[in-house]
Amino acid sequence: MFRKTAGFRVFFWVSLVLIGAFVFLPLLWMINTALKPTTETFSLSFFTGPKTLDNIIGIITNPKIMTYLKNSLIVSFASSAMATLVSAFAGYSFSKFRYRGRKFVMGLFMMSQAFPQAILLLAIYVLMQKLGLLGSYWALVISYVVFTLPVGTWTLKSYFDQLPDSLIESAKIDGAGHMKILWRIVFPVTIPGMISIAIYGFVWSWNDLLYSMTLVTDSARKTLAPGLVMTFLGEGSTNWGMMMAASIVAAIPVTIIFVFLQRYFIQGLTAGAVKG
Amino acid sequence: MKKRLVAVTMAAAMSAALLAGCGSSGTQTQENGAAETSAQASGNGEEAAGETAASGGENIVWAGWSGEEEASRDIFQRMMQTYRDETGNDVTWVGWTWADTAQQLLIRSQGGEQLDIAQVDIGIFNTVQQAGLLADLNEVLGEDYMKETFQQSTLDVGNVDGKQYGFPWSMASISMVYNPEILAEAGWEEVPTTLEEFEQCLADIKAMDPEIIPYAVSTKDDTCAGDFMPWLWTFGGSLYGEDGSVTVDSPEAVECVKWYQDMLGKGYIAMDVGRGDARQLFAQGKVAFYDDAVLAKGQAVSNGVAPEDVVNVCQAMLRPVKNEGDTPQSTMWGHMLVIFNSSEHKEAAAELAKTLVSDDVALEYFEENGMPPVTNSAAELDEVKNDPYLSTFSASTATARLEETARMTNASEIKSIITEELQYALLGQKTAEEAVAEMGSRMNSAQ
Repeated sequence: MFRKTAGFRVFFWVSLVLIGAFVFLPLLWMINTALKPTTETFSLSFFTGPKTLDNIIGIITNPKIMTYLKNSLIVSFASSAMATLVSAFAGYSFSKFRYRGRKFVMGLFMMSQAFPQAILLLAIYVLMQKLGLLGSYWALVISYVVFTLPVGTWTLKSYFDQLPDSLIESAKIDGAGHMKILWRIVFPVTIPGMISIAIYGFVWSWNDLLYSMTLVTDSARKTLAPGLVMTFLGEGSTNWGMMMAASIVAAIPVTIIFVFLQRYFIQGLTAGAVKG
Repeated sequence: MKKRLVAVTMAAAMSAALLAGCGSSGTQTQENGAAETSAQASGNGEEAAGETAASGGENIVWAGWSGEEEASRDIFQRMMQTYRDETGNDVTWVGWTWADTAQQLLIRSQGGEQLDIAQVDIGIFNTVQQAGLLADLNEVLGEDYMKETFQQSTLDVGNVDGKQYGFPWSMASISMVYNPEILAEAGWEEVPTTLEEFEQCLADIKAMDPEIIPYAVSTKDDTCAGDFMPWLWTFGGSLYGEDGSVTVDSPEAVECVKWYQDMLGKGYIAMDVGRGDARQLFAQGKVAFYDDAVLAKGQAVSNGVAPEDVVNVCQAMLRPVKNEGDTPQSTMWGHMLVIFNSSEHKEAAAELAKTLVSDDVALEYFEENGMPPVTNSAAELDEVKNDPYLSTFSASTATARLEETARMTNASEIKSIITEELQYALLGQKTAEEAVAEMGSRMNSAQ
């Protein structure tokens, strides 16, 4: 594709180092700060000077942070599961059924992505208030499903489009109903796509700050992002060491999930684009 | 087979989490004491409030940020308990971060959630007031009570067009604090009072220990513009004229920016320092001077200075003046309480406000967190009157001015413009003249 000339190699490596620096330096700095004693937080030393695990231990042994972590796991897994399931049903419907208003609804799904989340917050807040869901996990789960749905539906629709209709017709001839076809035939062959949507939904929920801070104010149900901000970022000062240590802890579940499922994630995102 | 295994595992994990999510939403127990400081008062607004009210009393919702912070969480609990004991009412705290409070108050109000009383600082007061959410406290508490209880200067901060929307809670000015030990080591027993003396003092500190930031004036975030304003006034400039026109593009502003550039060039100030950073560095003995409110002492303690040592390393001073005889400049700072128009418990909320400024509660807040009391009676208490640290702030408060952006709806935008242009000048990307001209031009466009 490219001739590997000396100039190309130089360009490639310089670009790689520059991009790598932008991507990894903040992460390394985060780890660096987490390992510094509080008195060294503002020093420019980079993995030199005194080191301590106090911040990390302080986070791991802080029951409040563990509560936030548990809440984040509950909300993220629940919203991820719901978003994947609903996206799959919606995507299958758009892909394999023909009915009036189908394209209009598909357009609506796409259009909903155009609104800034902060604008939608007010409407969602009122909705949750009227439904009596404010302060509950449900308020967050439903909101996150709403935001994952458009991308999930369109991604899975393109996935389902690749499935030959003859496969479904054959199942119908054998007497299978729609739900049976979905669970036994369609979903098993679209697992990579569904996993990619599940990961997408999980990461979205895990990283959200605005909605989780607004819809849930009870400390017992607060998720990790607002919990960390409210614990370590004050009017007067910020405990950067603890904040960075907590950020490392917060990144662990997402990293584990991504490492184990990245094959499916990449496969899921690219399958629709290259098949057909 | 492997795919099926993954699918089954994922489905099981997600289903379990889903069920856990459903099951926990309504019955979550308040664990680890975390929820003690922030009970959710949402759900069904008044109904939810009524359900948890103390027997026979009302349940009000109090919102803000300090009750969430480690340094003040306990005292906020005690304040609320005092209110419960004295009135038979209940109070539920709802909190966010300081930076998110204005936005959250607006969302919560517009969403129709119960919100009776809130803590606001001078910076966000205008935003909340202009949204038309606040009750006139002269009607709720009576004009006579307000005038008898507070100094007119503190009432003025929360007064808009003759209506009293803000209830003074803790007010002083943002002036300067210094570390007497560092100054003494550098040969300064008295604080500098003029710019010339100030620069000499900074030079002596730099010469004594190059690792120390002599003056940690804010050079980033919102506090950068906040620190710039009193220095601009010191040089005789201003952001706006009396008719509201932009006047920042002036020789005085250019001189002020050049002074900043000169200080940076000599290593007296540093880039990328905000108020929070300055507080931590100051507590570590790495900063000699910085700008802060009266809570500086409490912040030093929160950041590791032993309470018994704080008096030795944190003292207040008036901002140096350009010429002898000039008035030292400072900006008003403080927290107010506001009561919401939509509240059905205005009287009960007013009772909480009165509890919070009562002598005993205010004195405890002052002693524990350094928050200065504002009532006339508390000002006469010996503990307050004889505190030299507080009296310096009181002296600067007498001539303190509201930030010029305080009454503007786009204050944040204007402050960003000031900060960005000042940073361009400090980084050498623009001359002082160019930065000030661009500042003026952008502020005009933002009007």
